[in-house]
Amino acid sequence: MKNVGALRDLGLKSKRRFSKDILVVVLMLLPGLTYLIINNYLPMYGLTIAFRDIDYSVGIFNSPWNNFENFEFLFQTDEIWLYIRNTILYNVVFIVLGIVVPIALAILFSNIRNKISKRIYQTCILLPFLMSWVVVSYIAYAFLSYENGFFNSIITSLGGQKIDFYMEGKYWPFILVFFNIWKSIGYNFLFYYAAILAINPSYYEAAKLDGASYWQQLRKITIPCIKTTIVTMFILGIAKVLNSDYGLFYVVTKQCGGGALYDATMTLDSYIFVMVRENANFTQSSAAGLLQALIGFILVVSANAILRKVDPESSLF
Amino acid sequence: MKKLRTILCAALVGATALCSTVSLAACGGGNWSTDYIVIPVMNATRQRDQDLVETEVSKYVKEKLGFGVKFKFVDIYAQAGSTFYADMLNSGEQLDIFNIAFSNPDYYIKTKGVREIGSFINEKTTPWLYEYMQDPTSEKIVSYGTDGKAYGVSPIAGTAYYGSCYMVRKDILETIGVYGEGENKWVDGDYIDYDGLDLIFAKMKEYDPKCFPTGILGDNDYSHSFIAADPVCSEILTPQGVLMLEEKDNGGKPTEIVNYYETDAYKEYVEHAAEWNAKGYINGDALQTSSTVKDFLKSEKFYGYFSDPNPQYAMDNKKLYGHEFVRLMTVKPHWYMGAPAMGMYISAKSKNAEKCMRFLDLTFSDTYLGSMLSSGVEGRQWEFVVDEAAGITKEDFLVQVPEGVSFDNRGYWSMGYGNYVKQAYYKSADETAAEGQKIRETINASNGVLTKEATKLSSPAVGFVWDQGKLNTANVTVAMKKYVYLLSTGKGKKGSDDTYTGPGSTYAEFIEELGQKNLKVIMKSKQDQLNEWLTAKN
Repeated sequence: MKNVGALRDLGLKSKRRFSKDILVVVLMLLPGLTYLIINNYLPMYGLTIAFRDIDYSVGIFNSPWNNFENFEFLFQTDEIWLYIRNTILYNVVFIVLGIVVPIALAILFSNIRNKISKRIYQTCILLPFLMSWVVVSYIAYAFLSYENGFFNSIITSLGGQKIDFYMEGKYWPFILVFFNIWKSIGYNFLFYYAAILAINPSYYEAAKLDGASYWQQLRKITIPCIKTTIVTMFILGIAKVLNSDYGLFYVVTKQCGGGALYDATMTLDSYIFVMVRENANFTQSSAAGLLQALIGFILVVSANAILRKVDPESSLF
Repeated sequence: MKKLRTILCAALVGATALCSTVSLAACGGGNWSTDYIVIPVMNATRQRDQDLVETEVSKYVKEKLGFGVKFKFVDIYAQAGSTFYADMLNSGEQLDIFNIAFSNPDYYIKTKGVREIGSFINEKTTPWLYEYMQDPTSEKIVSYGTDGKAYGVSPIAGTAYYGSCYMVRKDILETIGVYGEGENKWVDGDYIDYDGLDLIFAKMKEYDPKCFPTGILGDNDYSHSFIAADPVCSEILTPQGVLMLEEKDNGGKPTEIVNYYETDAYKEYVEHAAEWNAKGYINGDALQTSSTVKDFLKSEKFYGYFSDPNPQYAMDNKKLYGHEFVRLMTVKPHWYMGAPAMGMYISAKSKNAEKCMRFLDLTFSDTYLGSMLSSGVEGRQWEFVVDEAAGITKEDFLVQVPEGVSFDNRGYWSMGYGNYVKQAYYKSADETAAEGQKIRETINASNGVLTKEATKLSSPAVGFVWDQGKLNTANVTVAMKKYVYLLSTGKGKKGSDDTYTGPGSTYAEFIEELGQKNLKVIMKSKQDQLNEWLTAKN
């Protein structure tokens, strides 16, 4: 009804004309909607495998129910809480730095006037995002390798003792955060930069006339104007707080250092991968995925509800 | 008009998206043909000649058995332990045979994803297999589920015996003065202990301080051949590190399940591995590197590696790296787990079960087919060699494939199909007659001894599959993953008593952590089931 009102506001008075326009909108929506229904919603019925004991002789959907048994494997190890803690803490850091660093970069970028420099910097910032984690893992290895790594070459040339990076967990929170931010910054930056570009320049001109300093303009104009983008990115980040990138946590760490880095780098997704790989049981991985999605869903709805109470205009829905 | 055009365009785009998505969604099912069977061909990378081999194999099998064969390329590392075959079952895509390697087929047996094959093993359908199974030791080739039914057929390859050697460059041994007969000298096939390895490694390092006597490990769980340096290492491959001490090794007491990691043998291995690591004998990046054995050996800085003692590997190395390799035996060959660890299973969805069994039977008995599947058309020609002592009596096969172009082109994982034990007897066609004869004699003698030794050391539990039921094994698996690779590459830290297994050491932490988990419950479960199984068997 809200949309109908909006269309009416646009001056679509004629009922006939209104129906035609709606039809066009619906038809334009059709490709995306079709994709969404087939790809994202129809397979949801398959989630029932998370609650079944698979029996291929009768097929997945006729297999017997086993209630929550597939979820139990997640909690069969005492370490699971450590892995959940790792997942959440890494994600909290990623969310915070994933907002602060790209915003800072976008603000700095908006001050560059030379078009050529702008394009060069933009390409450099975006390049890591286009690399796969496998490539990143080799870059990391080139720096961190024990025998021939760049860092160890410098350390030994200065007369120091080699560091076995892949054996010592204490370095990895920093290494992982660095690579995550380095890789994702280009992508996140685009959102904030686009939001900053959309700010009406007259706001800044008026502020300057009123004698506002650069920092005051930032605090009073830039940040409030991109607040919606920040909130959106924050809520999207919150939704994945129990997820982790297998590429970052398992590939870059070279399979958690062959075991040595489990305590520092093992996350829920990596653990599920390791355990499911042991027995090829995809019902258990479905159960884990469902649990992660449910928790993500609850967190998104909760975060949005809180936001709606605090600042109704910034909430997503 | 403009509006109409917009509507038509939008409708067209919508219809295209719908059709594309529906066709994509539908293509997973496919039709299951009975004119041909689809088999997995495993390798780390797709081979150049795969299409040629597929055509040739299909044509040959059609002539012999009346149906064709199609290949489904499977990345062996991706398959290992993954849900690849489960995906095949779910999607309905035709794949008649599953080659389940390095993972437990028990999951597929329990979920009825693979079918029982006992009824197909008869004189008419599988003559070679049927005849083979008349042998009392035949259980090694067929795997049984916990329900006592036959499910898998081992391709024999890689499962016929398990042993280990230190595969090392002969020229280096000669240079450092340890090759030959006499004290502290070794030749191909000699057994070597830790003291011997310590001596060789030290001399190598003295000869070239920048070399690595060993330490070639891959970036996947299955290429940690180093672990094979331990004389009882093979048993580590049983899940949860539970070692089976057999009656003869257990002071005459019944076969007993023990914690492998608490044995003196493992402790000794940990101490040696740590010493080797401390002295720089092992590559410091052993656990992380993604370089292969081939890469390392080509660099000329790595002189050897721990490996399956297959004499043919030594021959391969000579071709690939230009150096003659010798095998210093570290682990006595013995019959390993058989098909439970690696074998051919027939998909429950297959409409060609009988055809599959006939095909598998042919891979065992037909040299031409076995060679094609193992080596490809660009591989080598193999002449079948009769060896009465080893039970090889047929001499009517002579491979007719084209001349090999390069040894590097050697095709597929021989463990995939065919009779590996027999293949090791074949002579390569591109050797000169005299050289070929010499190689053949060497292989015959060596492999014959290995096979006979392995048969003698056959474990009474070969064929036993543990049913873990609802028992939690995750705790122990996590503890193992955290420590075993570290310890096996000598990366553990020393304890307060200056040993690598004393209090405060990484090893001690590992044992303590295992103690806190439910390893004892797992061991008891295995022991009870094994006792029951042995009683039923006898």
